[in-house]
Amino acid sequence: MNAKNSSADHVAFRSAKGRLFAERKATKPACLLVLGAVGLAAATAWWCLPGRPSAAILDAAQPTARRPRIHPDYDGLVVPPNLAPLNFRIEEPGGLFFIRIRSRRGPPVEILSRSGDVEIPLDRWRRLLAENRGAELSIDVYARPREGSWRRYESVTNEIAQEQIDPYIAYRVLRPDAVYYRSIGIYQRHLESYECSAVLHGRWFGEGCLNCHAFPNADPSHLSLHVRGRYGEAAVLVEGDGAYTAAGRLGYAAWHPSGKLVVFSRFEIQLYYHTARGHTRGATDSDSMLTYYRLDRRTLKTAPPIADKARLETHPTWSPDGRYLYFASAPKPWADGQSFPAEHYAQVRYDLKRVRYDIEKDHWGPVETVLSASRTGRSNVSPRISPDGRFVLFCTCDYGEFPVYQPDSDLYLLNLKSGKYWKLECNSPCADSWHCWSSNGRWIVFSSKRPTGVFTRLYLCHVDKDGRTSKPFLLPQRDPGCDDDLLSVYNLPEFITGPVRVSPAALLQAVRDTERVQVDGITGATAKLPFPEPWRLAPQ
Amino acid sequence: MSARIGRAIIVWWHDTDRWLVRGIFFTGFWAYVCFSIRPRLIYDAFGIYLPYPEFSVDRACFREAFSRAAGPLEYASAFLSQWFFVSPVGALIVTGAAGLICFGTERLIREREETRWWLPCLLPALAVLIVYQTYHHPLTALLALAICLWLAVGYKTLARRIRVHGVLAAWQPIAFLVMCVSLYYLAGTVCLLFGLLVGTWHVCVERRVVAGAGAIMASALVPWLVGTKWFYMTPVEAYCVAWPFGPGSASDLETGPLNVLRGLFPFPLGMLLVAALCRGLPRRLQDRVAGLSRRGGRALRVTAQLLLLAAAVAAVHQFLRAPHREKRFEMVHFTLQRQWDQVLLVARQLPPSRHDCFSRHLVNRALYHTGRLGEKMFSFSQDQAGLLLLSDDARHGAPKFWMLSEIAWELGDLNFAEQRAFERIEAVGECPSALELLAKSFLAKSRTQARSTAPKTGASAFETVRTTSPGRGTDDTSASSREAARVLLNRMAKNVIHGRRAEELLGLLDASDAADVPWLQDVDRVGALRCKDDRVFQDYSEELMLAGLLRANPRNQMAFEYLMAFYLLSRRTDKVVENLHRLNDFGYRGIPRHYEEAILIHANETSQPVPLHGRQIRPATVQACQRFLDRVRPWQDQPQLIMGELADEFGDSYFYYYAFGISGTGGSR
Repeated sequence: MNAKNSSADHVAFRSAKGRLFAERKATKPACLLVLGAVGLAAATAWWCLPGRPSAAILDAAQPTARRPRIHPDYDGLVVPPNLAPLNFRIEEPGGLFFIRIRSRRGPPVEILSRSGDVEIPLDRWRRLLAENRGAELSIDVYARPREGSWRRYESVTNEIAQEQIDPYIAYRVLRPDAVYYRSIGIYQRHLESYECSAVLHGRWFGEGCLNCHAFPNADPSHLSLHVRGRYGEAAVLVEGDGAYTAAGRLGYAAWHPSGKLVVFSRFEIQLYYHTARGHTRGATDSDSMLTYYRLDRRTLKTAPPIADKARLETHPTWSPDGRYLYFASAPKPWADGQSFPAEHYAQVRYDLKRVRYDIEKDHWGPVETVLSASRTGRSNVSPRISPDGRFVLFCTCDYGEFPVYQPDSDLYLLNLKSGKYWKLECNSPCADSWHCWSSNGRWIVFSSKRPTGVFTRLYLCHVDKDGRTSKPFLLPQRDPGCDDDLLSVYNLPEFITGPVRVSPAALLQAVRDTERVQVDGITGATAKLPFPEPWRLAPQ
Repeated sequence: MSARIGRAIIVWWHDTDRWLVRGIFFTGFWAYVCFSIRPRLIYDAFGIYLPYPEFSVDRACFREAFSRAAGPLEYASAFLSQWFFVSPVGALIVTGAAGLICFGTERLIREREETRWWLPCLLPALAVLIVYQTYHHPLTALLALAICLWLAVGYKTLARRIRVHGVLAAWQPIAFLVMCVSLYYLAGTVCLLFGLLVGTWHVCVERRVVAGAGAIMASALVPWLVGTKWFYMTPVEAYCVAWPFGPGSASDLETGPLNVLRGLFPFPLGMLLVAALCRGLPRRLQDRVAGLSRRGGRALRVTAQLLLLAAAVAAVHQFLRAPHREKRFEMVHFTLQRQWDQVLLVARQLPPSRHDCFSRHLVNRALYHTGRLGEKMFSFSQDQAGLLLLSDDARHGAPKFWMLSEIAWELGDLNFAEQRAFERIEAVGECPSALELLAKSFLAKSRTQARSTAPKTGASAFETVRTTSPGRGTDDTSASSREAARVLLNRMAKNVIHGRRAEELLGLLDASDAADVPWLQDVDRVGALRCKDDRVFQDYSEELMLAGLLRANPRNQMAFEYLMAFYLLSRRTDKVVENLHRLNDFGYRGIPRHYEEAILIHANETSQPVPLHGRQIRPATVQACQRFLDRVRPWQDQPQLIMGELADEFGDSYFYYYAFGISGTGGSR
C-alpha cells in the first residue's frame, strides 16, 4: 500500500477488505441462484425446441402436388460440387419446416426452421456434394401449420455437376447510375464459402472510382484495374505481390495469356439521359481505340488495325493461345469525337472482329470479321473466348456498346468453327451482360438485372460441351434475402483460381504513389481522349 | 466521529444545492431545445441542409460501420439522430450529450470531495446550445468528447485502484494503451485528447511527469499506427477522424459554430490545468475563495446561480442565433408536411436579400400548390435559377438533389425524378424520402405499362411487352418495375422511423385499384403525366422539360404554370402571350395578374394587339402599368436611379422585375 495514502484511504482499504469478505459470503447463494435460473431456462428452451419429426410422421405427411415456393429459385439447377450452400427461404405458410437435402450417397442434411429461412451447414453440404458428383440433389420440404399436421411438397431437384467451379470471383460493386464515385469497390468472393473481402475500395483513397479490373487466365497473381479520383487517373498493374501504376486513362483490359502484355481500350464516354424510356440513362463512346501495354518495356503503343480513325474499337479479349485479339468494332458515323452524337448514337452497331498478333515480333495482322452486326441485326459486343477456344460468348443489344443500359441485351454463343450462333437459354427479359468463363470452360458468371430491371445481381450457370446452358441461379449468400433490399449493383464478375495475392495496402500504396509510368502521348488514332468529369459535390 | 458526520451533512447539504440547480438547469435546457430549437427541424433537414445520418437495422450496415475507425460511434450517433424525428426525444439526446460532457468534465477535475468546480463545468452545455441553436448537428463529435472524458475518468479511477491494491505498476500503461487504441477505433482522433487529459492529470495532480509525457506521446502515435496500418488511411486522414480539427473535418458546419465546437474540446483540459493551479495556491486563499461562494443563505445562493445560468442562456438565445438558417429549416419542414401556407409565411420572414435559389424554389412550389403562382410570385424574391434549379447557378449539392427530385415527380417527369433520386442516394445516403420517391417512380412506370399493354391469351404480360414494344422506346416491363419498387421499399423498411410506413406501402404494391388510397392515387396521377415521346439529352433545360411534359399531357397544369413562370423570369413576354390559349385547358376564368402584366409589357413594346381568348385584363392592372410607365419614362436612360422609389408601390409586380430584375421588395403583400 502506498505510504502517501491518508488515514482515510487506509480505513477505506481495511473496510474494503472486510466488505469484500462479507461479499464473498453473500455471493455464494446468489451464484447458486443465478446458475439455477440459467439451468432452468436452458432446460425449458431445450424442452420447447422442436425436435426432428419422426419417420412415421414424415411418411404420413399430406402430399402437395407442387413444388414449394422458395427464394431464391434454386430448383432445376446444375450445381458445382464445390459451391457454398444454396441457402434459401421457404415462402409457404407454416409454423415449422423440416428440410431434407439428399442425394444418392451419404447421409442427408436435415434442417429444422421456424421462420422458413434455411441455413445449410457448410461441412455437411460439402461432404454431400463431394460424394455425389454427377448425381441428383433433392430437397424435400415439409411444412407444418401452427396447428395441424405435416404437409410435404414435391421435391426440388437439382443436378450436381462433375466439374468444379473456380473457387473465387472478383467483381465490382457500386450504386446504380453512379456519378459521384461513392461506395465503389472491387471485391472478391470465395465461392466455396461466403467469405467476401474488398480487394480495393474507393473510400480508401478519397472516394475514388475503380473499374475495368482484369486477370490473365483467371490467375489472381496478375491484375490490372483503372482508378481515378483524388490521385488522378491511372492503371494499376500487379505482378505477384508488387503493384505500380501507369498514368493515363486506360479502360477495358485484356491480358495476353503469356502475361507479358495487356490490351487496353481508350475511349471518350458520353453519358446521356432519356426522357421517356424505361431506363433513364444511356452511354456511348464518341471515340475509342485499342492500345497495348508491354509490361517488360513499360510502353504503351497502338497499331492501325486496332486504332482505325474511321471506327470505334473496344472490348478487347484474347484467344486462349494468344494468337488472336478479338474485339468489338463499329464504323464511326460522325466526325467529332468530343461531343455527344445525338442524331447518330442509336445507329452504331458493333461487329465482332479479330486480328492476328505475333507477340515475339510485335506484329499485327489484318483485321477479320468474326460476326457482323448486319448478320445479327444487332450490336455485338463484349466477346469472351471459351478456354478451349471453340466458342465466343458475347452480348448483343440494340445499339452501342453499353448493353447494361438496354433491357433487351442478351448473351449469345458463337461456334467459331461452324460460324453458327445462338441465344443462350440463360437470358431473361432484363439486361444480361458482363459475362465471364470459368477456367475449365464449364461455368459462366454474368450480371443480370432480373427481376427488377434496375439492380444487377450475379448469376451462375453451367455450360455443356455443346454450348447449352442450364438454368442460371443467383450467387448463393449466407442470408438468402440479402439481395432483396440491396441497392448496390454488381458488374464485371471475373473468375479467378485463388484469392488476389496482392494486399489492399500494396494496391493502395500504388494508387497513392505519385511516381507513375508515363504512357500518355499515345501516337496513332486519336491524340486526346478526355474523360468527362463527374459532377463534383459542392460543400454545403 | 461527530465531526465526520457533521462534515458529511454539510457535503450532503451542498450536494442538494448543486443537484437542485443542475436539475433545474438541465430541465430548462431540455425544454429550450425541445420547444425553441425543435429537433424535428433538424431531422427534416437531414440529407438536405445537414449530412444524412445513415442507419439501418441491417447486418451489412453494422459490419460496415464496425470496419472503420470511429464507425461504431458514427453508427450509434446515426441511430440516436433518427430519434430527432420526435422533438422531445431529440431534445433529450442533446441534453444527455451536454450532460455527459459537463459531468464528465467535473468528475475528471474533481479530487476527493471537491465541489467547487461544478458551476463552471456547466459551460460546455452552453456551447452545445449554441451549436444546436444555429441548426447544426455535430452529435458524433459531441459523443466522441463525452466518451473521451468518461474514459479518462475511468482511467483515473482504475489508476488509483491499481496503486491502492498494490497491483503491478506495469498494468497501468497497458491499460492506458488498450483504452487509447479502443477509443481510436470507437470514436476516432479524440484519443489525442484522451492522452492529453491523462498526461496532464499525471503531471499536474499525481506529479508523475514521466507517466504523463508517456501518455501524451503514446496517444499521439496511436492514430498513425492504427489508422494507417489497420484502416488504410493516409496519415492526415488518420488524424482527422470524427472530430472537428483538420482539413475537411466537420465541413458541414459554418465557421462560428465550428469554432465553438472546437473550443469545446480543449475546455476540459483547460479546466484540469486551472484546477491543478488552484490547488497549488496557499490553503488560506483557497478557504477564503471557498467561503465567498458559500456566502448568503441557501435560497439566495441557489437563486443567484440559477439567474446566472438563465442569463447565460438568454444571452445565447439573443446574440448567438442564426435566424435565417432557422427559417430555411422551417421552410423545408413545412414543405415536407405539405403545409404550403406556412412555407409562405416563413418565407415572408426572410428578408429578400437572404433568399437563395433554394428558398425561392420552395416558395414557388408553395405558391403553385396554393394556386397563387401566377398572382403572387413576384411579391417574393425571384430569380431564374430558383424555379427548377436546372442551371449551374443552383449550387450542386444535397438541397438541389432533394428539390429536383421532388419537383420532377410533381411535374410528372418520372425519368428525371428517378435520376435525381438515385443521385441523391449515392451522394447523400439512403434517405427514406428518396427511397419512397424512387419506389413511387417505378410503381408509376409499372402501373402505366400494365394499363397500356393488354396481355395476349396464354402469354405472360412480360412476353407481350417484348413482342409489342420492340427495341427502343417502350422497353420497360410492369413486373420488373414493381420488383424494383419492392427492393426500394424493403430497404426503407429497415429505417427505424419509417420502417412501418414502408411495410404498409409494400402491401399496396400489388393493388390494382387506387380508390381511397392517396398514395396510389398520386402514383397514378404522375404516371398519367409521364412523357411518352423519348428524347435524349445531356443538359436539361426548363423549356425542354416543361414543353415536353405539356406535349405529353396538355392538361398538366403544373407544367403549364411553371413554363409560364419560366418565361416570365426569363423576360420572354412573347412566349407568355403565345401560350395564353392554354388557359382554356385549365378552366381559368380570368388571367393571372402577372400574365396580365406581361401582356401589357409585350403590347407596349411591340405595339401589337394581343389576343386574349375571350378574357379581359383587369382595369387595376392597366392603371398600374400606366403609372409605372409614367414614373419610369423620364428615367429611361438610367432607370436604376428610380428603382428605390418604385420598390414600395411596384416591388411585387412583374413590371418591376422586368425592368430591374428584382422582386419581392415591397408592394401590397
